[in-house]
Amino acid sequence: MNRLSKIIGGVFVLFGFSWWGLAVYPYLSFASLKENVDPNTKEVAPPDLPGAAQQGYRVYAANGCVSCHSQFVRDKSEGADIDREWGKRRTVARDYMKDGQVFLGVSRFGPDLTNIGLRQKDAQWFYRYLYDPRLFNPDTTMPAYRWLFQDQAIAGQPAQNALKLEGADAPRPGHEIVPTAEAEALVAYLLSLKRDYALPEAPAPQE
Amino acid sequence: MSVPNQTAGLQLNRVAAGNGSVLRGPILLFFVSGLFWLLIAAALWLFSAFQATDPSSPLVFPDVAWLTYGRVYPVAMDLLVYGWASMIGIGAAIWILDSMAKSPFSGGYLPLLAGIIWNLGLLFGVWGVLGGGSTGKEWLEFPVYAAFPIWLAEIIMAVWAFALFLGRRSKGGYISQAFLLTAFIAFAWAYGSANGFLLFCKIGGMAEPAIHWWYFGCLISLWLTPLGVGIVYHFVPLMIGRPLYSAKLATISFWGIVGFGGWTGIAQILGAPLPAWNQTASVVANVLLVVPVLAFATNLHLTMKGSFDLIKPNLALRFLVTGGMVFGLASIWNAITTFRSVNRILEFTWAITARTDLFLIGFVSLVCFGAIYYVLPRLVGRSWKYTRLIQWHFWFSIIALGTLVFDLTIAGVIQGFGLMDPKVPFAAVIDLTKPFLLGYELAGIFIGVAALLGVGSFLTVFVNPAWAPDSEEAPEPVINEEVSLA
Ligand code: HEC
Repeated sequence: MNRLSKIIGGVFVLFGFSWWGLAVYPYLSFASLKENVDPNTKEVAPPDLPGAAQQGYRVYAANGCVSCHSQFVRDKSEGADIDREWGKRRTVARDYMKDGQVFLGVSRFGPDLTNIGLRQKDAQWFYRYLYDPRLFNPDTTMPAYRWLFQDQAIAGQPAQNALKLEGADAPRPGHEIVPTAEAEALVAYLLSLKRDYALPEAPAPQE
Repeated sequence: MSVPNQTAGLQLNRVAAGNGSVLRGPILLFFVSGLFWLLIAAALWLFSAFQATDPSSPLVFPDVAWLTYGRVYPVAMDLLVYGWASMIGIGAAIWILDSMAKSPFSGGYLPLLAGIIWNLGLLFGVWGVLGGGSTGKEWLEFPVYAAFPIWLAEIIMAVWAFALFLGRRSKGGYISQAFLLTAFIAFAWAYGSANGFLLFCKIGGMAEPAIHWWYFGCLISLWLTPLGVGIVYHFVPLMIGRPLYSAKLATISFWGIVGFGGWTGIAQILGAPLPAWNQTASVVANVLLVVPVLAFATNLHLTMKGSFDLIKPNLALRFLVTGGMVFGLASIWNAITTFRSVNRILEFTWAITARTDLFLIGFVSLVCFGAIYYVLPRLVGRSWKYTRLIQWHFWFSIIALGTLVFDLTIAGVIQGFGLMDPKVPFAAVIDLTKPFLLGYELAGIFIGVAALLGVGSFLTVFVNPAWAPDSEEAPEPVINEEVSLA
């Protein structure tokens, strides 16, 4: 009995220690983070997420994009992330303070997406990419997400965000392919992924 | 602090929880469910391997949301961990705890209830993730309505385990009891607090990945590890009829795993903006974890010394001992790949996937099958008949493990060096790994075959010859060379 309570007590103490150190401590230390306000320009960093992106991260989560894409840029000393132009500087804790969910990811089967909104600024590009990544690289392993789009008859004017598709992908005559609400939210989220503001704790490394 | 040796348990096990015990039903329920989920997991895994490596294959359905890689692969992994490994581990734990406690309390309805709730949780989880409700957090994809039942079932199991232990007739406690009880406490705490913080309180910002990956360390090192180690520590001495070699080594392995295990997870995301000391502590923990794991493997080796001949004929023993030894290797590999200098290259690559797979398939799954092959005959009162099938199962498991881990590790090393060189375009890095990804598909097929062989052997129990618990001969799956040569 005595031995049991010693074991249980030991387990609680040792386990609780790791819980405190790796879960509670980061929580407490990140809870005090404040946004950075530039004294001259009064610019707030990181900026608030646009409303549409707030929905989009759920689509990103639900579809396991994180199984193949990471979202953090390591320091120059840690890897070639910056040289690959996935970011001008490493990401720091404040970059994520306003994110509804942080998708660090442990797999780079696809490229890092921390700054995808800087590399591609056009929603149409994203729609076409998600609809058929093979338009851009015939050998790619990025899955197509055709179900995020719908085929509809053109009523009067073609829809503004209809996909510009040619060849095998082109819709039937009189029809058009348009993004669903989910696709729109997802792309709004992807477009919002840009960490191009300056934070004093993460200066861009000198060339 | 000493954890007494296993010897005293030797005799009890012959009959405990055998025919007629109320615990027979629950243990069978956990075993059957675990094997069922294993089949689903293996099928989905194979499916996802094809999808990830060959997007033009007819197995890719870009029009069907719930069949896309990002939903299928997480479900496969979750089922492997929460369906297969956890349920078999719990089933074996019920057997072990009951047979060691010799308690008048059996509370058979509690494990039964837990088994049903656990299965419901998994069902909701599969439904939820495939249906688009995934949380998007690796190993925690199950939405609240699935995670909660699983957690509840685990609490029930923990309560049962402690009630049984406190009411035990046998004196003292044994090392495998310590491991199993620890597993039940740790998982309840870790799974509960991770899901509570992340899904219920919706903690955002960098605290979220901190909690998330802390949890992953606990899942591996304080849930699956103690289950597996407890099972090996219990069954191996029983099968060879000898006590564990060293109680001291056992004690070291226990306190080492409990002490370092919780710190291991953050090493999965080194370089992320977490407090530097967190990352250092996690690397150190992964390296130090080698000590208790090797203490365990050495203890196993020394216990087996002189009895190694037995692993040839005795297949249950073969699964357990191989699993234990693989665990030793896996922990060394884990430490090597955690060093910052190696990790910066291999991080984010297939090699890290392979590292987890080595643990899940090489250690946990082999041990789970070893436990099934030992417990099942005693549970249903039958001896194994089709031992050849089990032998095939063993070799297919090894081939599957080897193909998977070897192949993905090489792919990962290539991918890692490729990504380190910014002059190599990203798409070219993927192209370099493609030949190995074909090997991944092959490994997926082997895993499927191994799973089928395992389930097939399990099902043969119905045609196996009856075995009376008091008969001299043990019902282990033992290969009789004389017969097989004829
Ligand atoms: C099976 C793994 C996998 C999954 C799942 C996946 N991707 Fe990709 N993704 C890739 C690969 C591989 C590439 C690189 C393609 C290439 O360059 O040929 C890529 C490229 C991209 C790109 C272009 C990146 C760039 O730098 O040009 C975007 C954007 C993208 N993916 C978004 C997503 C989104 C959103 C999801 C979830 C809905 C997702 N991906 C799911 C593998 C995946």
